This record gives sequence, structure tokens and C-alpha cells, in this order.
Amino acid sequence: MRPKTIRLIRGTGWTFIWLGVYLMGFVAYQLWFTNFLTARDQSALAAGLDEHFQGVEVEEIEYVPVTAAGGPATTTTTTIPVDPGSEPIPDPIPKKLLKEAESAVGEAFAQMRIPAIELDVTVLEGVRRRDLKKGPGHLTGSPLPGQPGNAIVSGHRTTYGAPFGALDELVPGDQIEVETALGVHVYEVREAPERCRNEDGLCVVKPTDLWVTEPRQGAWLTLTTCHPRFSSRQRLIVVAELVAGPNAEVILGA
Amino acid sequence: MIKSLYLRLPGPRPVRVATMTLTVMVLLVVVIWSYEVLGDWLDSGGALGE
Repeated sequence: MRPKTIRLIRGTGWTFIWLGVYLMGFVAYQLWFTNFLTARDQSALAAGLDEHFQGVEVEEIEYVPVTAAGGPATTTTTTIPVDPGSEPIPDPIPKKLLKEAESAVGEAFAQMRIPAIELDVTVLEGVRRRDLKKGPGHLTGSPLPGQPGNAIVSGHRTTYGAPFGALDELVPGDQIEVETALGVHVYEVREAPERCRNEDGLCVVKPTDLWVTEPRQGAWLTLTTCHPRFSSRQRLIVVAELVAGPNAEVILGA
Repeated sequence: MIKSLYLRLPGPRPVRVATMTLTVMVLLVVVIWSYEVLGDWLDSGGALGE
């Protein structure tokens, strides 16, 4: 063989070797090193959570549960008839709802536990990419867990500790506990909305389907993560309804 | 390959060591940055609206 050909073969060989090293490094970085980074951040966030619970401002606000006939309570002060034919129920007496001040973006404010998938993780405020690398993040602007409306929490599925890696294993009735400065709010997983339910009973939407974040009557928790695993092409959505907690009685009108 | 690269560097030993160290550090930063960008295709964090 000519020396030029030998050099070419050798060069190609080295290119593939370095490409292999790069790809192996990528897999190790994503599936191992990012978990280490998140575990370190989670320890720091969890350590500061008790201090946050003690220092956060909690106030009592007037909550006027307005009930449309057949519908659950809402936070609005006007009556909303569910259908034109139904008679709205008059406003009941305002009740006292506990409300905590929103945390700064990037700050830990809650501990989420999902016994069915053995998850125990600290939740922080914000869903910027750098926030989600530390743990599940609460969408700023959506209500906090334990408040009326639809609280949105997003988390990684495959990398950075994969807190929501097993979200697809949750079934209706599974409990989600979210501990905030107010206490422990207990949610129960509900069936996936019909609009996005697939043949496996999972709610899968496009990343731009913002309707899942829309306010809902009552108190809801919506968890979002990437779908399918190892791809950020779609989002897996799990919805859960508040069933117990410091504000449950007031919101549910029990 | 790394050794031959080092031997081809100009200047006395301390300068070559410093240049090599700096090159490796820059390379590492570029590689990690590329891992982060590629990683977003695997799992972007699950937030909506992006």
C-alpha cells in the first residue's frame, strides 16, 4: 500500500476512535454525571427548606367560593353559570384561605413525595433550564400547590436525577403529597383528560400545548415531563386533584 | 497523539505545559457545552411552551 493510503486509513481509524470516546463520554455525562450534579443540588436545596418554611410569609386571605350549579368552587368573585339553563347558587360567606408568599425563582419552596413511584424530591420555583437541572420546578405565575387553580410542576424524565422518570407508572388514585410552608397538601391522580389521552391512558401533548396549564375549578396539580423517554419531542402530563390539606376544606367547600 | 501535539508546541517546557493545560481546559469546556446542547434533545426538562 502507498504511504498516502496508509495515512488515510490511520486517520479514519483515529477519527472513529475519538468519535467513540466522545459518544461514550456523552452517555456517561448524561446518564451518570448529571445525576450526581442534581443529587448535590438537591441536598443543598433540602437543607435550606426548613429555614424557608419558618421564614416565609403566610397570610389569611378572603376566599369566596362561588359555585355554579353542579360545579365546584372557584376563586372568582362573580358567578359563572355552567350552562345557560342552570341557576347559579348565591355566593356563600367568604372563608379564610391560607396563602404563602411566592419564593424567588431558583429558591426551594416545597417537598414532593409520590409513594407509588418512591419519589421524594425538593421542588424549586421556576422552570428555566438551569432551575430544572436542580430538581422539579414550579411554573411561576401558576398557583402554588395547595392554592385554588392549576399548579404546574415540571421535571426531567431521563437525565438530571430523572425525578419524573416513572411518571407514566402513576394510575388514577395514586397520591401525591406536596409539603409547603402551610403544611402537607395531598393530591390524588385523576384520569388523563380525554383531549390528550392515548391508547395507554396517558396524556401526551406537544410541548407547545399550553392548554394544560389553563386554570381549573378547584385545586389541581399538573405534572409535566418529556415524552417518550430519551426524547423531548412531546410532553407527558399527569393531573391530580387536591383531596386533603390545610386549604382543602375551604377550596372543596366541604 | 496528545504527546505528539505537546512535542510540536513551541517554547520552553513551562510554556508548553501551560499551553497544553489551557488547550485541554478549553477543549473540555467545548465538549461539556456540546453535551449540554445535545442533552436537551434527550430531555429538555419537561417544561411547556418551548
